[in-house]
Amino acid sequence: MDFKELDPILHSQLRLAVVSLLISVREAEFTFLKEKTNSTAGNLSVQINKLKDAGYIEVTKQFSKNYPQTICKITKKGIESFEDYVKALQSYMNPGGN
Amino acid sequence: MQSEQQLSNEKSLEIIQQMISQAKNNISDNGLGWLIWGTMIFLSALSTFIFIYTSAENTFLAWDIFGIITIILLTYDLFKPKQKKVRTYIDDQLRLVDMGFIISLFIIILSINISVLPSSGFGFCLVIFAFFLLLKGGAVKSRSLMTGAAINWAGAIAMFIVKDFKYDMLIMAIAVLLGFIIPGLILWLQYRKQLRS
Repeated sequence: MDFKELDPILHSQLRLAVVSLLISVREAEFTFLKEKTNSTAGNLSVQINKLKDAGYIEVTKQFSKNYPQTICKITKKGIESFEDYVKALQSYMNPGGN
Repeated sequence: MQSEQQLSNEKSLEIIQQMISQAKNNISDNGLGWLIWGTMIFLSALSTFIFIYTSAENTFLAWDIFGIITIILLTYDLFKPKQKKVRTYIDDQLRLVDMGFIISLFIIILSINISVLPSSGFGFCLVIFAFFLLLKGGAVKSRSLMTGAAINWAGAIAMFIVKDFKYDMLIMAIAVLLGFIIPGLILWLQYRKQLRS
């Protein structure tokens, strides 16, 4: 049986949660991701940087009403990697399936 | 949430499903817009009915005031800083729906001032109100807004049948009360309840 390797960048609880959220929206602010993933700012920030370095997400820093704002958006590479990850997961969960 | 915790395949799937569902649930409506616009239209239509009934001089005074307030509110909305933490694909679609609705409404209002009989023109307003209510109600999964759409379409048909403009205004007021104000109130109460929990 040929099992696909799971992407180590995505095979982490928080990074997978961030990418799953971003796949469903056009873009999201850091505070939204923090709230939905129930994570700490420091940890989330580290994981966002890892995803950014891998080219899976784009991060834009801007100011809104004098407050810094971090906007995250999934990239085409991120979408493709997520799709491959889900396919790989399916191959593990359903080895006899098509 | 831990970052480097060893993940089982089942846990991975659970996270994906949970997060996608969290993002989906983010589409909401606090009902305030429906309450504000509904009340303005309701008061304008009802006062027009009363003005005609009492043979007052400036029948369309309330609609003139409504027009000025609308321009002020739309200008404010255009320039106010947007504070949304997330921008969804459906948000972008709904923005286009809003734009289409406002343009269509302005063309109908223009037609009432140029050539179309007020009785027909206001009937067409209810037609596009209904369409708008259906689209928005579907997006936020509000049965009360979608019921409001049906009421506004029924109101439009009633306005086309009833030839007396005075009663057309009464029909419009009722349609907006049932289609905008009551659903807006329901959404507002749900929103408040959600904030408290």
